[in-house]
Amino acid sequence: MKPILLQAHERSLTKICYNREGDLLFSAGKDKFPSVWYSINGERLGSYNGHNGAVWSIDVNWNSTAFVSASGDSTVRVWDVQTGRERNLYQLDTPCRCCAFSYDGNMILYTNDDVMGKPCEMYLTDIRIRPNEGSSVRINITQKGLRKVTSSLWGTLDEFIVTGHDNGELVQWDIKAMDDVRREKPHQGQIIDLQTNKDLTFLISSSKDCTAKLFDIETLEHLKTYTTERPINSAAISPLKDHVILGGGQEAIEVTQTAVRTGKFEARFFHLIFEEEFARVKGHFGPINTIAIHPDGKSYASGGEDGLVRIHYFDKDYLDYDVVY
Amino acid sequence: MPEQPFDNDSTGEQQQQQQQHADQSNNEFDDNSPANNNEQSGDEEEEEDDDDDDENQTKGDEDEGKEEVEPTPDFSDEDYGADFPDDVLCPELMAERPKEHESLNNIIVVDNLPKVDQVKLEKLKAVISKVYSKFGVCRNEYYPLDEEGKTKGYGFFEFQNEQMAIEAVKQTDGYRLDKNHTFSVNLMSDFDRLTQVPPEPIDTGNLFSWLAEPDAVDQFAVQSDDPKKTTIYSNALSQPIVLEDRNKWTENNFVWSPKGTYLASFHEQGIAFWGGKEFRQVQRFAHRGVNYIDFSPGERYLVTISPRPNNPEAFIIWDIITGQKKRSFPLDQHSSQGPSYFKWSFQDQYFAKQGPDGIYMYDRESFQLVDKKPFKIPSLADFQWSPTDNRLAYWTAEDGNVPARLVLAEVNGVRLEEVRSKTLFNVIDCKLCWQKRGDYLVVKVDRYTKKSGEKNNPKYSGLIYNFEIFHMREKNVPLDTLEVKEMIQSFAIEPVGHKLVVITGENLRTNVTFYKMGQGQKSGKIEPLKVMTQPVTTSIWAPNGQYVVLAAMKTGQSAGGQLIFVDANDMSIMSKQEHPDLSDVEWDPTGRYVTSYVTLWNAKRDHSFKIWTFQGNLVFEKSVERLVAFHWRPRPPSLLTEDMIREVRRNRTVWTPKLDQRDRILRTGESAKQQEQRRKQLDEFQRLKEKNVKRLAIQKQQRAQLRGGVDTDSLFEQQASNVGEEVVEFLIKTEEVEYKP
Repeated sequence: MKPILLQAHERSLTKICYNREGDLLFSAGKDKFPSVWYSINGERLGSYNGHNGAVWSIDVNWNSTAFVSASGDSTVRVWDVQTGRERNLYQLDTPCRCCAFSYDGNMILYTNDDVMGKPCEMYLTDIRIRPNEGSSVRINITQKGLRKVTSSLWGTLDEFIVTGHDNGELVQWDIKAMDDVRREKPHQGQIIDLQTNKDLTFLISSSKDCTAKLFDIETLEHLKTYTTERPINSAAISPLKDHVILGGGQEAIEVTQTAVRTGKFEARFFHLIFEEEFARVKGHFGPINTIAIHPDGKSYASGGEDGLVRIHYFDKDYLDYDVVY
Repeated sequence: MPEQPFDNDSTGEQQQQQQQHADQSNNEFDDNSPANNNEQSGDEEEEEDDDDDDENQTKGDEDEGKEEVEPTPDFSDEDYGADFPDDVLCPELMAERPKEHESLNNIIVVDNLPKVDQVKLEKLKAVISKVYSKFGVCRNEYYPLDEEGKTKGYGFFEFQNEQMAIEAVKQTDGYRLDKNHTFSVNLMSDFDRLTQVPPEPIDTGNLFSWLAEPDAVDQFAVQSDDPKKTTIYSNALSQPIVLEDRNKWTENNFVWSPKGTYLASFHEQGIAFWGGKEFRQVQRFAHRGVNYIDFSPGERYLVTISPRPNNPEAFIIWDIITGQKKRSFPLDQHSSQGPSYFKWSFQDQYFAKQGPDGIYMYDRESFQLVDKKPFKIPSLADFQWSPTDNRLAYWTAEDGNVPARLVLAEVNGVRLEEVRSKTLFNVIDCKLCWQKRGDYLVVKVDRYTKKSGEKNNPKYSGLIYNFEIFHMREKNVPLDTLEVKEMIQSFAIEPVGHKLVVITGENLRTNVTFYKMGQGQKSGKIEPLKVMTQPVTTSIWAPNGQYVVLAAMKTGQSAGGQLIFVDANDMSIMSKQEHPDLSDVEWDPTGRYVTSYVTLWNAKRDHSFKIWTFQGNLVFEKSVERLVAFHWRPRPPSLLTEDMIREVRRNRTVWTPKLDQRDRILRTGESAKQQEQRRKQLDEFQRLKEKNVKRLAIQKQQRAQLRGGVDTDSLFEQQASNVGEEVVEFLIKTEEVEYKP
């Protein structure tokens, strides 16, 4: 399993994602230029230039026409995927942390940080309306007694939103009522990443408390726990097999004190149901910040603190492999 | 002063005094013990408490007794008989003392009184009062009566104070009132003790039950700090099973006895031994502030070391079975702080220490110096006993013009006879190392070519290293010399066999060299067999030789962690593994498994242990937060003779299939259990998935609506069936193009 190395980002990766078909891979890092690649061979198509700060989160809509990015420069921008032209710009007061497309691809949600005395807020906006014309729905998270939103996604049929918070809380928001309907606290540390499975029925959270947990997306019922000895930055559910891939490692701030071997910067494969680790993939020189699985489940990509994206196509051995039971 | 001669007379006297004192202390203690016991919760603890008392009693351990009583107010006069008692000095005050009246210590029980009826009772009372009035005022007397109104033949008498009562007991116990009545007198406070004595010897069960395990599974103990916990596992085939798990089992660390019979735990008051099937307490050795312990190799004696300054009993030697104190030694300036201050000969017959002017060797029969004097060896630097003979090796350091000497000596009666010796020049240091079977003595000698600097702080340069190897089993003990060019990091002798592994070089740029020490005709030849360049620091042989693990421990420069499993038969590497931040490696006593572990002491995180097969396949891995220690439980040496072992080896083809079958049965049993569990989990999850599929089917319409009527659910399924595969060729040409928006 020889990986394809993408060396486009000068600084550490923050988020990567595939489009629905899986032919394109989008990546964002702490440099200002989110990029798009052919996932098949790692050829770079281009980048979306305009941000003036680290890009914390990106997402692409279902038909790969629009691309959204949230940046530390306090803006959220929507781009035309094909041309790289900036379509919309939303200016906020504080750095933007999360952004995500709705199922229908018309709505985006984005959040900003609670710094400089400003509250953490979540916005829902229709991208078809120009920013200066329509108003977006705005929820003050801080006012609700919740900590900063650190990860977010849309639920089934665009009926609800799930957010992960700084203190390990997981909250479900009803879109019609614009209010939180479920609050859980499954983690002891920040929820760094939330991802769903392919058909949006399960949800996997990755946390600083060294665990990743699987939930039912509608009820937020806790189903499974995957435990490691390092903070987990990202976790993805395979669409093909009952596997999950976790990425993480020693926190970036401590990395200088650790040898590569002791940092545990491997991608770790767990069985979805048995919660047992069965494989690891080495490679990164720093913690893995973000992991995405190709929609066909036959390859995955990981982006690390080391500024590299590695696309791994699984060997036949993996595709034939099954945990015995 | 080198040695306190062991004066029998004075000690005897001392002991007697101690005995008395202990009695007294115990009485006081017993007085308070009901209250103490009530405060304690567990039954076991209560029991232990009682044991403690008994032990103090028998040993007459002054220290212990005193300590026990200290927290309670003590009104009694310590040195009774020597000083005036308190009630003489200030009777008014003492009379008001409330505790005195409640104390059982003032009451005596007189048994074997005549049994009389009411009529004669007054007369009896008068007689008895006369007997006891000379000890002091009798405050209270009581003669229990039976149904018919006759006395029961015993009575209680309360004195004003304890001294009177004690005196009364002393003088009237065994007093003959008349022909038929001889008094049996006791203190009331001794009553509890007397009814409980004789103490039942603790039933420890079979201390060797663990050896009877049918699959010869080994055990190991793991200790973690915070929570302070010691866990004993049995290394069962599929994965280790927890046998015993106790919080605060030991206050410090724990030690297995050399044959594995006991687990020793450290406490402020002393050492406790645990053993048997349920790891119950089997012995205890009271030694306050004990820091180290050392066993004689045959597990007969225990040395406890409490290196507090001015401690007259810094070293105590105990008989393990009886728990008796055999001898104690004070701290002297030669006392090393480590545990092996005394070195024991192979059958526990002698123990010896290094004194200022030679070796002080003691006999285990008398615990006295052999021949009543030390063996004078000027400038003795170090000595080591052979593990299999009454021989020892020592070396003397250079002293002015006298060169260093390396000597092999044999204990012959009361004499130490030199068997072989070698004079060495320019020696800085020697390290004496016996092979486990006693076939070889390997001495690493560090020498210099140039010496400069002051006399007390010399600087050496041009260091040379070599080994001096004694072939113990051959006539006249031939001696080989092996020169090594590079700096020696470490070396290890094959415990059973003829090989020597030497690791040379600096930091992790190291070479591992295997040597063969020639035998028989080839004696005198040391052939290098193979050199490997591997970054390791230590080599650890399997207990029966042949297999060796080369390991890189964590050092200042590197995290280490390399583990290389080598078969020394052909010097082939069986496997290479890793365990970063490695603290140590330990073989199980049978040589089937090796553990590598990372402790709290040299890593901030990832404290864990891993169990490998001797070939280096990972069997088990567990992370233990704040791991402090890991030790396999040793086994006693095999009872089989060499011939029997050979016989077993020869019949290996008969045994192997049987054992394999047994393994298979155990494994399938275990995997069946696991399968069952997994199937359950799978079924559960499958139901969940089915529920989701139904939900998705219902929502299909709505989903399509959201995406403008496009069905995006089955993208890949469609592709697979409807679309043929298309080979796309990408022609990649790297080109730098300026992006112009």
